[in-house]
Amino acid sequence: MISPLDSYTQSMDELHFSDETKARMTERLRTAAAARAVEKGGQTGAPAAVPTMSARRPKRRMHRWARVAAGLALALALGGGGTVAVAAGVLPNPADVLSDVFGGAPAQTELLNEVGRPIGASCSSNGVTVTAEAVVGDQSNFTVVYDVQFDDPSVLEGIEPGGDGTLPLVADATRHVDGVSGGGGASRFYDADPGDGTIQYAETMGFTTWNGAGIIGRTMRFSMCEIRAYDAEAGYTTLVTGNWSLKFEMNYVDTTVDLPAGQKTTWQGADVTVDAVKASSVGVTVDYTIDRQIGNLGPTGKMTDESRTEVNAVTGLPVTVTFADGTTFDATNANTTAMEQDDGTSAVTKTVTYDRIVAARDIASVTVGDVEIPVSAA
Amino acid sequence: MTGPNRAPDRDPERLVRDYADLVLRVCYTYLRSTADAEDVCQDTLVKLICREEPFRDPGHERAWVIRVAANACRNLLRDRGAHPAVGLDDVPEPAVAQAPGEDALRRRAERVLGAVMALPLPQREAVYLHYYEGYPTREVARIVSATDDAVRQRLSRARARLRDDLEGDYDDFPA
Repeated sequence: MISPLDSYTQSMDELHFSDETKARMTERLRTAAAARAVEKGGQTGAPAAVPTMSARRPKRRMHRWARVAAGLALALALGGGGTVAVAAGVLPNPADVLSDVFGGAPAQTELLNEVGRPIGASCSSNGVTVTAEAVVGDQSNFTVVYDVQFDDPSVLEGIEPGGDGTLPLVADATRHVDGVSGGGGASRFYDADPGDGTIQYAETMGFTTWNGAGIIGRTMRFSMCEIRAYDAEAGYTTLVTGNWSLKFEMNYVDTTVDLPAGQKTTWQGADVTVDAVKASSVGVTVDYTIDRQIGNLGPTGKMTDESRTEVNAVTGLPVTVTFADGTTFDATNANTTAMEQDDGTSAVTKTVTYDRIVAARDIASVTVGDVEIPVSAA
Repeated sequence: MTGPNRAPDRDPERLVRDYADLVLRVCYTYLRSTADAEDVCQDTLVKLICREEPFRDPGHERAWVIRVAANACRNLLRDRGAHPAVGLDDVPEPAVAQAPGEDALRRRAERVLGAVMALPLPQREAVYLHYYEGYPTREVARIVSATDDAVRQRLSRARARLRDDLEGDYDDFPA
């Protein structure tokens, strides 16, 4: 049997840059060496410019950013769009590592306040350019907004948004973030600026990682091959096909704040202990223990009114987030899990992203049951 | 002509050939990712080109490259605040047990690599430099700015953790 250390060295041996990448680096080093020689020879008074990766990256169009950032609030209005799933990841392994190398370095992502802006993550195919515009997230959620720009905007004629602003479009897309072991979420198209020939595609995902380390700084690989339009009569029809593949860093500021916990309350007559409350600029997570368990819901798996009542008696504890401007977000119907404990209690976790992006400082409080927890107390 | 006044060999093609993959592995060891490897490699080799002083020998140059790349990785970790301590319990388990075969061997290799990469950084870098790069512990100590005893202790702890984590897969792990 091969020894583990031999196995380790063999795996490391598999790590290498592609010939193309090495050629690219060699060329840049030649330029650097030439600049260095000029500097040393004193042939110019100006300091030699030593090129780095960032020097070749295109400059951003700053004026577009403000508009897209404004669109983020709309992007996060869930409820429309298709459900997508994060591909399961098993890291680290050489195959995943090599995909970074063969695909070239991912576009870097700079930060503007708490939001990441991928720099130069753009791909054109079949008259459509897809550009990663914004990344926000926290310890367990992220949202990425992509610009989808049509060379021929007439393709979009007749595609009208619904009441919540969602366009009747779905994407055939996949995404993978290094280190993510599973997750899921929702996606939707919207139009931040009607008439500019560009629409926005937003994906909001909850995720778990193989080591619990989060995903900041990890690489996102996004691919899309088709956008379909939906019509009630015609069903789904292909709007455009292509091959759009982007790679960029998931770089954002995790604004998660741990709020004070341990408070006692009751829900439908059962004692509740608030175990943990985490709030961020994108979502809220509440853990609590309730002195009740969900009983046998019956053999059919079909939820009856009685079983719904029984589930609600454990998971229905109201949770509300109040923002600085006085508006609120009802997180009661968040993604909820309930684990039965040996002592007859249930450990419940509720986690959800808001319907808007807020600055962390603009979260005023989280109310769990009748317990209001000010964020300023954190 | 050879002698102390000979200009250092800073041919870009030679530097990339000799050190690009080395820096890639350093990046992976420190960052658990190669997302920044090309940038780190570029910056490291530019620093090498700009270095005026000659190296004593090729080994001296190689250790310098490792140290500069490792420092760049540490800076990245510090800037991101992404220096997580990972428990071995978090290393993914193989999905199913299968009879020995190519797939099983590959999964086993992934499990070993995963176990090494789940080690705390000081142990991970010691394992990489000692077992992969082949540096004796006193040289590892010099590269990572630690004492020889500290490096030996890190390697010992790393082996113990790997032995526990890989128990059943390997019975011949060095003590």
